[in-house]
Amino acid sequence: MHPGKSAIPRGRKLVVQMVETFKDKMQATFVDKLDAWQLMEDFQLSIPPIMIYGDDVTHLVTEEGIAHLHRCSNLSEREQAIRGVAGYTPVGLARNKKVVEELIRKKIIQRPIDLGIDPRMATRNLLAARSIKDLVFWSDGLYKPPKRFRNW
Amino acid sequence: METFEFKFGPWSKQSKLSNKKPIIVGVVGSGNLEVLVEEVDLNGGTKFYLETSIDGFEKTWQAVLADFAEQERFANTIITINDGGATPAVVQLRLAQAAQQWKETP
Repeated sequence: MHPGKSAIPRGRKLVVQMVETFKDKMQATFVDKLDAWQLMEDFQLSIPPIMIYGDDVTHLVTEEGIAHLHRCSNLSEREQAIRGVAGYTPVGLARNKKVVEELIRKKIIQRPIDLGIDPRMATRNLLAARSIKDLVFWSDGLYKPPKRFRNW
Repeated sequence: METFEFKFGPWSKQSKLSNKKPIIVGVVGSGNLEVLVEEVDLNGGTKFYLETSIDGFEKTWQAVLADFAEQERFANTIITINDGGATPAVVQLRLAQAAQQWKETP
């Protein structure tokens, strides 16, 4: 698609990826090679099955902070912005500290502390509904949660 | 199950103790941990004693605890961690809570 050929001014989509740096059982979320490649081999697919391509992602949010990827000026800056919010995963530990500090200064990476947020305040007390039970109660029983959410 | 010991510092030459009462933060549960902070003469350094239910993450612990130790520089402090497989994010949160409580302890 060549935007120049169209008379319609184009906007851009926000593609925000929210992840924790580690999944269950301490599996790193950030990896050098996606398991989609293995899936491609296992199921003899023609391409690796990927829903959202990394280069479409505009913002990456982890517990470490927000990476404003769309504001990176080149691929290596983008790489460091991702590493900068990848925490203690191997990908995160391999960050270039100086570049990441520069990205924080340029507000391409914003950590909770840069946004005036104290992570210790992040409890359920800040939510309107603090449990599934609240939702059931407020809806007068109209909301029937799936069994696995019924922990009371 | 694995146990580790890490030492950081010393941050000061002072080894005078102020008789602080130990504090404890968090609970041992799946994906959670408890952090116990006590004052002990360690020649001005910080020491961690760690017991974790998930094996094979010594380097990750080392990195998380080194950053914390460097940031807080608690002299003559032993921090005992009983971990039930918490992620570094949860570990950092509990350590931050423990640090705040420790600073507020007379």
